[in-house]
Amino acid sequence: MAADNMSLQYTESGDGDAVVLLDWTPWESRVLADSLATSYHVVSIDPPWFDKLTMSGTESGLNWAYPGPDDVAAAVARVAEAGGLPGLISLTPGRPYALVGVSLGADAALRLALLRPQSVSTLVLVSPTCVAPSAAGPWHTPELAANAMLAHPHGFNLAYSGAESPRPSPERTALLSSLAERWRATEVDVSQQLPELACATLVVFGQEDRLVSREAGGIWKAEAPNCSLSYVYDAGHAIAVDRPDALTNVVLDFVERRETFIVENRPSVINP
Amino acid sequence: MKASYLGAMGYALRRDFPPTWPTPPACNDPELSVQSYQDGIEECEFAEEMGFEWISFSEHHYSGRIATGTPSVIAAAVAERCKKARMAMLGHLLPLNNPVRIAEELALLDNLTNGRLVMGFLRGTPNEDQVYNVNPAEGRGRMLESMDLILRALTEPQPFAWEGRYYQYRTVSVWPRPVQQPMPPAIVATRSDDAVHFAATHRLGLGVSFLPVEDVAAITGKYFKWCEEAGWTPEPDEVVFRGSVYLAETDEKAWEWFHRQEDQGRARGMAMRSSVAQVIQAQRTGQDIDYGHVFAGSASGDIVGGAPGLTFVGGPDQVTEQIRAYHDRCGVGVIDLFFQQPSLIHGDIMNEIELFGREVLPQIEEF
Repeated sequence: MAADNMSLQYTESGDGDAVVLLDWTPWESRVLADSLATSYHVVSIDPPWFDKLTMSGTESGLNWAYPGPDDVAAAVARVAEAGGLPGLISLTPGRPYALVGVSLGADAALRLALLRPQSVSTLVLVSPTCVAPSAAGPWHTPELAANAMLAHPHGFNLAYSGAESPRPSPERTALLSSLAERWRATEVDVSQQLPELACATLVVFGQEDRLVSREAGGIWKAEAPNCSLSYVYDAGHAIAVDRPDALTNVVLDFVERRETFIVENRPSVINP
Repeated sequence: MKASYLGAMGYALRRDFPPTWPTPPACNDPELSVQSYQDGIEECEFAEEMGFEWISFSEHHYSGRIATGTPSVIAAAVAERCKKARMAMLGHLLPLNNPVRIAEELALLDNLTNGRLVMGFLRGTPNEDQVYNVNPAEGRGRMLESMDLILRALTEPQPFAWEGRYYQYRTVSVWPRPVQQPMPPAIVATRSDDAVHFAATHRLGLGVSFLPVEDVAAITGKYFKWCEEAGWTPEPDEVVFRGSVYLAETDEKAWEWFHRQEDQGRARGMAMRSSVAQVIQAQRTGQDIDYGHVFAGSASGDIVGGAPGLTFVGGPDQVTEQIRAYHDRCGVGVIDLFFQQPSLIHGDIMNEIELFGREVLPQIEEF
């Protein structure tokens, strides 16, 4: 799809209400997309600077290689609002959708929710780095990315899965780390805008996330009026790699039930 | 070096208990039980008066030997009588409990004591996995996750949800906040590498119990190494050793008493049926179990594993030197002492506390 002189690559899966997913980490993970697709129509949009990025021109003033988060948000919003694009059958004009962003995708998703509050019914931000980032980095190689983003990059862990964690994609790592540095150098302090965030919002951090300071969660919860905050135990920044089931559990529950996800709904009867 | 008195609150007639665990409630006479707790609290008060700077409590269940299954309750009672000593929860058995509840109890205790709380986290002995139906195979993982959750609950300024491996909470918002900020000092009581590593990397203290000095030195050596790698150096108060003690006026009297206990079979460990102990141990270590070939053992209990025994026995100078070894070779800064040996009565304990305070404490305070 094309918007704002930007071409965005996306994939679709599943049926149901619409969820727009911006899962932008150095890993080629389908964990969230596949899980959400069991109940929803998922439109998963790739990072725009990836090798599928093309620009039709530079007259918009955008840096063709490094669109900013607001540029990306505006592009996605226009596509979503336009409706009728091939494949985007559920993103009909005026119909709000759930928006899920991961890592840099969460930073872009936040901009989108602020830009188009009427379009986003539910917002889930997994490992956002735009509020209270730490000095972690650089992570421009897969090894550095794994060190920065996994809970146990050196293996001193409980080894529950018994398998080595998958490695990040080298190309994706290089491009995303460059973009992250660019965004970090140029972006304004978005935390001032959190009180404007109107929709039901879930912010999820790995308990061992080293890319944000320990205070980040508290800032989100205090400043965003409808924000729920969740920590995933034994996970770093790349929660989908460290504890995929825990992540999909809380994200799906929130997309379905929003702020009422705090109410226990599983039976506890042992023998009726 | 500081001394800590373990407020075990043992039942007065614990010497008459059957050797098995759990001790049947029928062994408890409520009237004597009430007096036993009053005696135990009086011992804590006297220990503080004699110069012990910490009073500690430890969660143990289903027995009157250490009769503090709910350690926060007894700590709150003692804190009303002891106004100077730190109340050291050494500690809660994390795999057995709701971590959020523990965080709430700790925060409240820190308020009740106006910032005199020391937190301590334990896994518990194998028999205690059975108290609240915890799978022994999961004890280690539950302990590690509990520590993370408790620390988060005590320090997070806003309500949060927790997606754990063993625990899931969608609303955690502990009230009140601890008086000691960002949180009270915390001790991880353990012998296992992963928990020692956790303590070192999270800048927490370390507690070790009932091991010979060379074994403790090996554990604390790893701890200090990992602390250094993590960029910090523990304070003396952050390395605690718990040992049993019998102190008499002279070495001869102390050892004569000790050998008499051995002759009477009072140095035995906690007895469990062999089959149960085998299965617990197998599950704890991840071994396959062939239930058809598990040896049943005696219904009245088999001795399983060695008794911790007495760490410190002797007259004042001999006990002082024994404690010095833990300080010099292991870096221990707080010695937590279990005085309530099964055959001793309240008067004996009070005499020992007085002797320790008069003859031993002035020496170890110089370490």
